[in-house]
Amino acid sequence: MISFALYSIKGGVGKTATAVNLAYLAAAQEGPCLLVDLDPQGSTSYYYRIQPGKKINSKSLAKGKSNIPHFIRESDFEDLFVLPSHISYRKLDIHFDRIKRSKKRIRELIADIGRDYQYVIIDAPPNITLLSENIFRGVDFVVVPVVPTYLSLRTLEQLQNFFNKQHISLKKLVAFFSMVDRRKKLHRAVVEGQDETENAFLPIWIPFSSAVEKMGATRQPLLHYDNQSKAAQAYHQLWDHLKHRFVT
Amino acid sequence: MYTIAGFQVNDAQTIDQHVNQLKKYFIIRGGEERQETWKLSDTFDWRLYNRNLILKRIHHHLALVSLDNSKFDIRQSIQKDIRYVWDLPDGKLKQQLWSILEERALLDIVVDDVRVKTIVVLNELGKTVTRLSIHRFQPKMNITALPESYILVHALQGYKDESDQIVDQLKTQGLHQLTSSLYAYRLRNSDREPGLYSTKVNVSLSDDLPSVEAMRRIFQFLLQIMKENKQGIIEDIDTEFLHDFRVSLRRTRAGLSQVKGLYNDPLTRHFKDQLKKLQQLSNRLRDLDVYLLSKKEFARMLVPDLRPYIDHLFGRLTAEREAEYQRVMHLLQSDEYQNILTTWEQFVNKEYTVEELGINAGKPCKTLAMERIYKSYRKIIKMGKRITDDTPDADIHQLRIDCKKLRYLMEFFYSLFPQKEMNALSKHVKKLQDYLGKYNDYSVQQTFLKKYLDEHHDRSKTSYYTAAIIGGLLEHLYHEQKTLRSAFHSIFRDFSDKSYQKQFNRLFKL
Ligand SMILES: Nc1ncnc2c1ncn2[C@@H]1O[C@H](COP(=O)(O)OP(=O)(O)O)[C@@H](O)[C@H]1O
Ligand SMILES: [Mg+2]
Repeated sequence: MISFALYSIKGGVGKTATAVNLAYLAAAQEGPCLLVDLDPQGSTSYYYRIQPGKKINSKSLAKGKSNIPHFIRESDFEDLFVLPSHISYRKLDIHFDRIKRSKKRIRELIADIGRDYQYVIIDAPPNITLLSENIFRGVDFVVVPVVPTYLSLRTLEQLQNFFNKQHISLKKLVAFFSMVDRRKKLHRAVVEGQDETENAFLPIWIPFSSAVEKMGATRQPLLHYDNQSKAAQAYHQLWDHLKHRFVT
Repeated sequence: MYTIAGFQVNDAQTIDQHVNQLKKYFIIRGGEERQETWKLSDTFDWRLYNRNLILKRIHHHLALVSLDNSKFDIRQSIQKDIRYVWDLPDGKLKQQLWSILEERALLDIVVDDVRVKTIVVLNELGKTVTRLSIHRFQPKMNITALPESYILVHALQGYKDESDQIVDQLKTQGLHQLTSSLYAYRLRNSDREPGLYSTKVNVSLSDDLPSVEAMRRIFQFLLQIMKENKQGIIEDIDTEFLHDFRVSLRRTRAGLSQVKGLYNDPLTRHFKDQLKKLQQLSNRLRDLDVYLLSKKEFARMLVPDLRPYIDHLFGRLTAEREAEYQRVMHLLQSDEYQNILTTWEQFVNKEYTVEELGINAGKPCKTLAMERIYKSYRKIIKMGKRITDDTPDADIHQLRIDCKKLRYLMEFFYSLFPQKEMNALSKHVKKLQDYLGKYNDYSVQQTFLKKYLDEHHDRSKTSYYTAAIIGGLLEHLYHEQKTLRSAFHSIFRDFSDKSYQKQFNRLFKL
């Protein structure tokens, strides 16, 4: 089982869009895959048309109650399962703060529920919090979408510094450019100016595309209704690169 | 997704009506229809079926599934046809199947052409909450007959309540619910009755039945097994067809020699000789089969440096086995050998004249059974007591043969004695038999290897390696056998324990 989180300090960078589509590919190609929606906004759950169970809440998640598998929902697609988000996840941080050894909670959770899956993919909320620190420690890889602006590059640096300070291996960190608009001079400049080896950037970027935006209306993964679009092809390539990174 | 219920639709033309009725209460979307070929496979001796499992193959997808509606399901996609477990790619399925099937081949039990239509049930968000699949099996023989049709209900994890509602609705619509999985229903279309095969003698006798009649039934049973396995031997499907054939033949011969005086002497001798000839025909073939199956074990006996070279030896053995198989098949299908079994069958089924019968023919079978079992048991006790550390191997082998005969006798007449005690005593005898069997295997293997060494001494490099391998194996086998020998006394002490002697006396002493 391999686990990774889609994470960024910033919101609106394509975390959810990526998590939704990568999970779709992982399930189709590799077998059982669990997509965990930890963002209280619940966009991932929304795209898969899954409502949270009534009794799921942040307390049981933080405390590691064994009833978590009970909340897992099977998606419309073979081998793809979703642990939906819940509004109470806003308070996850507070709960983690109250628990001893809380830094290991997510890791234990993944080890526990991840047994039946080939991949566990987490759609993480933005900001650096106790919860995100937990996620960094708990997953095998942290995948960071970066919109090509100098400001975004700076937030990536902040994240790298945080990893260093907390003694979390930088090898876990994988970045890629997201929502790239080739018509924008700035985007071109940033993408082309990146030294791949230095900043953990994968040699692949996801274009800005209205096809992706349409997901909000269709409530389906892009790869399901438009597998041929440029953006869909880019997700395929991103997944191939990630798989390669996971095994090396 | 897992199947929670199945329904049989007697009249295929009503399927649409049933679906339309569901539409009154649920949001239903019709899916596409596709053609599938289903292959359900098992071994000749029903190893999967008897564990309530079956191997299902649909195109490139293989799955080990349960015959009741449980979630158990191990899947694997495959590129080519699978006949033996070792043809499978490594993984969970291979591991699980190996522990059940071992070297037995998979046979297609049922091959079905089926049209499958999937229908989804959605909730108010448009999320799929249940799937239905409609299966129409193309009739094989009678083209004009209506296809057998079924509706299966599949639940999605987290949406069990929604599926239960569908199941309830279909019940109200008067459909007949299946009591086991659809696979179990399809297996009934097989030519053979599922699950019915065992080489274990299963003949129930009554105490006063004349011995010749009792043995007639046992011989008939054994003949049946031999006949059932014949095609598998000829097609060389796997090694166990020959094995089962030979075991039944050996049991038959033991019946002739151990249950004395059924027929007159010349007749008994004639059939004993004939059946022995038939058995000997495949001795070497079976030996080679056993060696080839135990390659891994042999490899483990060698020092690691020699292990890779074991392929030389086994390559040759494989070639030899092929040649031997051709030889045996040729003879087995010749008139001379065919006649052995056909005349034996005719004889087993005929009305006997007084002259043909022997002195024990009319004796009540329980009396004869007690006499023979008791005598056979006493003989083993007597022989075993005489064995010391200096006794030659040949005597130990004789003891093994006698032990086997006792086991066969107890199997033949199992139904005449209290079951519980027979089970316990059989187990008791088997312990000694297993020990002696293992001891014998070591001897046979050493003899085989020595003979092999004598017969293959060209000067090729391969021969040198093979010789080194054989040397390594002989050394190992020799020491193992010696260790085993030193355990004889404690094994035999257990076997001849007074409490067991008493039990034997009580059951079998007249
Ligand atoms: N490659 C893309 N091209 C165009 N729009 C995108 C792309 N990726 C995401 N979006 C849109 O941008 C918005 C934010 O994306 P989302 O994946 O939800 O970001 P995050 O999860 O990081 O907050 C959404 O409306 C989404 O449809
Ligand atoms: Mg998001």
